[in-house]
Amino acid sequence: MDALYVSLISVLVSGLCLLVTVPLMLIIERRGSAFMQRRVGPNRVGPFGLMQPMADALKLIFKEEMVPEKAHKKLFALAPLIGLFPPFLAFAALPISGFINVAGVDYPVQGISLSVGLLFILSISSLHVFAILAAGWSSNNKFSLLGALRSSSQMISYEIAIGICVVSVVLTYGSLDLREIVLKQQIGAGFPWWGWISLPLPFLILWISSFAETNRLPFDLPEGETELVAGYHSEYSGLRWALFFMGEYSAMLVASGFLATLFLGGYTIPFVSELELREFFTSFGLDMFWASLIAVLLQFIVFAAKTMFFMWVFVWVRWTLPRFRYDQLMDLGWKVLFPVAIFNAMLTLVLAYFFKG
Amino acid sequence: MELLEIIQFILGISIVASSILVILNHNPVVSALFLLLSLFFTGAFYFSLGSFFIGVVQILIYAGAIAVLFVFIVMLLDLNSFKISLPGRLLTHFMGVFVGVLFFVLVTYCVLEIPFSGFKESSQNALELSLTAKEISAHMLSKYMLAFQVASLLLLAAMVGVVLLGKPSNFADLQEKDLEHH
Repeated sequence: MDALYVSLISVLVSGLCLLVTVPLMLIIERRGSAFMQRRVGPNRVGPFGLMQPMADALKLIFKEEMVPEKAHKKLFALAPLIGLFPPFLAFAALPISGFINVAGVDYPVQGISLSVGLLFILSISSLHVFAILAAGWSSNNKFSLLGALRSSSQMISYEIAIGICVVSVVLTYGSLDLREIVLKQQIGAGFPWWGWISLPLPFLILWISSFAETNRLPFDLPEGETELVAGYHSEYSGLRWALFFMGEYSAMLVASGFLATLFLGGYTIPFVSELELREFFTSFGLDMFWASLIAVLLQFIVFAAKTMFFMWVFVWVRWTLPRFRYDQLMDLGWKVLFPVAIFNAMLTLVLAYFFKG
Repeated sequence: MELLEIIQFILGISIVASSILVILNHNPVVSALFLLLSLFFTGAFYFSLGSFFIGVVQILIYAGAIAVLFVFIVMLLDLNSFKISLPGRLLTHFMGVFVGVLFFVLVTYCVLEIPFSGFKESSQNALELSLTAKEISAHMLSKYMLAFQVASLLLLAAMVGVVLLGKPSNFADLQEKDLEHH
């Protein structure tokens, strides 16, 4: 019974993470862009403008929702919801913290503990493209359709590079289980041999590709406003537009969490193992449950910090780099990232053969 | 009934319903989206049977890649004039019904051949289904090596065929395109 409660709470926590991150990212994006452009940014609503997302959400809720007359009405209404569902499902499969000890048994703090978590996240995130395709097509607008087609070809192209990079990750750690991958990156209290040290090329390629997968600048061609008005969400307004926005930020969070899990050691704290943490807290006279709870919270904070680092880079890059041209984007995907990923997979194969016996 | 059984029941109905909607819809894009739904539910069904790897691969390859290509190509076609309709000839209808009935009979025969008695008590079959990635690859590289190699050869042939079909008919075409490109 305890297992059920723990997994239910874990699912709730990972859902809440997404819901909390979206408004947080909104304010970071707006204040961050202001900081980079030497402006003040929104600072009137609440202390330091922290309540600005609330105001934005209220405004969007009370806005009129327009539906184009010749749109496919059902699909038009459904598309933003399709976009919201894959990130929530994918984030639940990420190991957000260590183990919690309830009545003498260790339970993993993870929404869905899967033996194939790595592939699960890849497969579920690949469904995100359907929201964009459905939105672009159902709007019955040429700009929307163009944006949707661009987006789908871009996502398919970069998914190939991601898939091949993941092969080398799996070869190195010998597992598809994300928790096992995390634990293998840091053995005990030794030096943190995180993924980015042992797998620098896949780290770079996955990082670049995650920008394309989430349709963020410099790869935000599906909504390039200079060419396509607003791309696939040109016809959307009010709350439905906000749902697209939420979907985009949630996808960013999943990509960041995925990168942090594979290459930055996930929830592990450098130089300190979970066992040592527990021993440290039990030495204060706490029982096992509370000691493990505090350890889990600490590790969750570390995971959040690592994830937020990637989130911040998403914002940083967006306000620094200009947008790619479409053929440049495809060239980068197919002529640079794809061959490099294959080369790296071959290299890892050879190294794994000789060094692992 | 257990909760898992109820979920499997709902998933089964969803698979059948969405598959029927694929052929009943006159709009090709909506049809393709229902195909995606059907493939996705099939993946979820594998999950409910406990074979996570097959379920994930089903979603990754069929729902995530093949269905995207379907939708993509259908969208590139002319949207207003394109409507799927059967040609009105009697022979075509007859052939359609014949093939449908034949397929149904074959599938029913295969399903009836599976011994369902004792399926629940021992749940041996369910366990056999829930193979991990390691076991599947071990099977592929030992017991089913030949089939695996033949399938890979077939895929390679298909890939070469696609490249050949997609190639411009002569070299001049290619150069012209290159000039336009730059």
